[in-house]
Amino acid sequence: MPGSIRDRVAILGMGCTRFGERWDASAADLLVDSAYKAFEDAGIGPEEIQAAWLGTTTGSTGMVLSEPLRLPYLPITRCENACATASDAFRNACYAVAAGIYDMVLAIGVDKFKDSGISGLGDGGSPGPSHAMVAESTPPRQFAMLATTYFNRYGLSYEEGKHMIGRVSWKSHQNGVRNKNAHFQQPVDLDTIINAPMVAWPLGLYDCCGVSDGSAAAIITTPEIAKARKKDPVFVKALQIAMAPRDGNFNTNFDFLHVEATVRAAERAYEEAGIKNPREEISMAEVHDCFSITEAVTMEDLRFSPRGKVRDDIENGFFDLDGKLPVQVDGGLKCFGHPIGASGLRMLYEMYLQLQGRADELLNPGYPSRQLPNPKLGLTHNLGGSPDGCAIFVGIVGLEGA
Amino acid sequence: MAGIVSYGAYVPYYRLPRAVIADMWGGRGRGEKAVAGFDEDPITMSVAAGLDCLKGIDPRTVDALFLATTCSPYKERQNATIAATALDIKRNARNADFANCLRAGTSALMSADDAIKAGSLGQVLVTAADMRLGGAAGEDEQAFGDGAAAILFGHDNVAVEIEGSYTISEDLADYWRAQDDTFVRHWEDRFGREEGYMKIPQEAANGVLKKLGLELKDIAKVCLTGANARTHAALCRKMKLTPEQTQDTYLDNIGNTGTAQSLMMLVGALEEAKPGDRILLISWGNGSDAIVFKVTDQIENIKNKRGIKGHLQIKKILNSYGRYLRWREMVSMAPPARPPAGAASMSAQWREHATALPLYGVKCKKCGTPQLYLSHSSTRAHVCLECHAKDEFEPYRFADKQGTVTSFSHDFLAGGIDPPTTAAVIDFDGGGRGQFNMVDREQDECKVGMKVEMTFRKMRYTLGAHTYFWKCKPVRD
Amino acid sequence: MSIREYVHIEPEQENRAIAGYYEVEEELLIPVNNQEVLCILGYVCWDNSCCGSGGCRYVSVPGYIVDYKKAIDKKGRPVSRVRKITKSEEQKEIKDILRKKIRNLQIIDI
Repeated sequence: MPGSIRDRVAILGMGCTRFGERWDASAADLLVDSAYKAFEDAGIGPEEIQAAWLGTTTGSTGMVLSEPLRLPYLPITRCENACATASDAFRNACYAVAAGIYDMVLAIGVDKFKDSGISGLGDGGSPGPSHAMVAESTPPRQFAMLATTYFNRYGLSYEEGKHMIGRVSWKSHQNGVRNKNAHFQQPVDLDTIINAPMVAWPLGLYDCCGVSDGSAAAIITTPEIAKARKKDPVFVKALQIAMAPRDGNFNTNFDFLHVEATVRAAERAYEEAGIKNPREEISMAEVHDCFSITEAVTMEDLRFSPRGKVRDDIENGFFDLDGKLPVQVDGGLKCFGHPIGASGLRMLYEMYLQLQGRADELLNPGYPSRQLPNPKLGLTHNLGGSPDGCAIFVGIVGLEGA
Repeated sequence: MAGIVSYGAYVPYYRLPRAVIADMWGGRGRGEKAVAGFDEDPITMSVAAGLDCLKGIDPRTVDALFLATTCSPYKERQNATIAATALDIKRNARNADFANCLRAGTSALMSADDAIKAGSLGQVLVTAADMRLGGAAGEDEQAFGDGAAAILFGHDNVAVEIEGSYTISEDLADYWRAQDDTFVRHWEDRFGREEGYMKIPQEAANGVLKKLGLELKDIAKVCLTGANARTHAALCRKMKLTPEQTQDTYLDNIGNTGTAQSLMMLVGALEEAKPGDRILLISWGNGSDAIVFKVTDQIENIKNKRGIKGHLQIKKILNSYGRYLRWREMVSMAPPARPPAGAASMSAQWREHATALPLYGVKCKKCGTPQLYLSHSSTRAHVCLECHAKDEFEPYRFADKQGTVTSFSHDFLAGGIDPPTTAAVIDFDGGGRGQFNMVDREQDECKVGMKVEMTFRKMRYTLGAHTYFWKCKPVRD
Repeated sequence: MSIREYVHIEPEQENRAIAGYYEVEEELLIPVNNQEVLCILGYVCWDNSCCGSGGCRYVSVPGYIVDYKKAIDKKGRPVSRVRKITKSEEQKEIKDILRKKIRNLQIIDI
């Protein structure tokens, strides 16, 4: 690799709105909310921002940001990369600082879905040729095929498979309920999850994430400025994107058991961050649990679990809040929510809070602590698209020296 | 020599027991009728019958497709060319639609035979398909069924010759449908029966027999079309046909298939025919065509088709009248609560139709990998997915290949007319993979590793036009 | 042998997920082969899925009743013991009964 981002930029401050069906808020309201929370956390004013990267899948141009924040004449890039949108905005902002062009920039993501009157992101039915079967294709179907194949390949009975992926969702609900900013804060027991009807067989209702409104933001600066202004800045260790060739429906080598793009992005990220054994070295992770099977397979793709063995780790609580490697500490997409253009920065926000020991700032009153003991390195992962055709982001952040 | 060199047929998988209709509206409800799926029409059924007929025959040797139907999805757009493209019939084929009359099928047969005998065309494929709709609770709803047949005419290894034909054309409108009519209109039944059906078909039959110096006793099988069993039996009695001579109308187990009935009966007769047999086919609709066929000793070589016999075995009872109404858009369903799909693009369809409609992928000349490429915007591969060679391909057709299911899901979210949508990733025999919707399947039977074949179906309807593509279905023979 | 516990979910109560909700409408005990089959009838609606919305009625079939509501779980919900229906002929028989009884429904794997 010609260069590495490791410890070359730092996060000075972050902010995140409450996620949910925000009937009360516009995209502009959400952007202002997360941006000013980030400014306050960083101890800066908006006038110190030199450039910004805006991630959104619904807006267009950087004016979506410049207008409500009254950031006149700043260079702003609007970035879109499906569910990796926010993470890619963050990545590009980091590179600009690492390149020495700027030393104080904003990466911010937002999406506002709940004004369309109907649920969903559209069906991809673009004007196209007659074969446009995409008109009927849905994401749950694409990911359900991972489950069908995974159960078949590893000899899991339907009950065993459903229990495994149900346990994934159950864990996220256990975590999300402690988070007062999460979209979905109700505890759900495993029977309710496993007995739920199908959305796309074998994926049931609780195996699928929803959509939310929300925004999250990060202020990025140089390590020198960060250390001068803050006692515990969080450092960027790795930023990797991998774009899959969308060939799983044509290439017989694609096995519907894993997501190769995650493997490629993760291996590059581990090299960049100097990580040999992620199962041992990574303290916590927020991954793209758009569907429960996605999270299960991602645990193997990230080398958190050996190939074909994730069921043992899931069933033994390895990824639970009190497990060896907690995953979806804030509830994940399934509970914290999924405003697509903000999700990557939301994941990063949780890692940032945990690394600074501030996780209980978001504690739902009456619940036990969300704070993990002494995390050193946190990983975030986004998957935008389908298992074979996706934009993958893998990022690693950590404390100084980690 | 010129004549029939192959035949094929298609009967939709679903059969609606008439008792299910009677359950709703009363009546006797005997037998069952074949019901085309929500994604089938005369074009797709013609392709299905055409595939059966062209089994083992290079479609590029066919010089024309004549498609007969009274249920064209279009007033202006050629059905035959859509079906011909899907069947991979060449671009310079002299395709034509035969329409507007229940005799259109036999008109197409005689035109094809004439063109072959005249030497202007080498091989002509004739298809006839219909799916007339009967209004709810009416007699036609019970009577009408859906189906298709295909007959290939040519010069080599002729299995059946046309010895002669005789036509009576008469504007006796016992049934008709105006441009804007959804359902068939009738005059008083006795008028059509007494002045029409009980007289004219026999007159046409006598005409051809006299012309050829034959008598009815020289005919092994008479394929006399008919709209209902009672009048059909009455005319058979009047013509003094023996039971052995009388070809099954399939009114009981398929229904009245309109334009397709005559060709489907012919296929049924050919399935049982012996060398030397003569067959008399009599159609009915604003007159009659009567055609005498003579079977040659090649007949045994072309019986390797599913035909009518095979398709009658491949069936699933549709026990839901509501589902039938929904398929035929006879009830107004709640609209889906989802963002609408964009319109299909005519120019994009045109650009891709040479690959998408006949389901062509490519085979890499460098590494030999067969591959499909079906993206949102293109169906033409440029870079090999295996060895990355650029534009080093030869065409490779997938429509005629079977495959094995690698993964699947039943998608309840997708909406559509008949949820759930089953999607399957299939690995083709001989290499290559694709993801297709699966139809004519039971949810319970879907398994990783099951065998499927390709079937041409409607996909979407936007801006007054249907889009067509291939789906897969379980192999059932 | 393939006997498992079924925790009865309270009928007519919304079980909310982020993507939608489902509700158990009623439980049926259908006599088949001199035994009773437990069937759970309900309705599912996905109104906040990332990919569209919709809904349908469904039925799930935990199995033949071994003990009916003879125990309760930690949360006080009744628990039955059921024997999973593994023979494909019996699965088909039950599905046919259900399809006749209730039209247009999703049958979750028996």
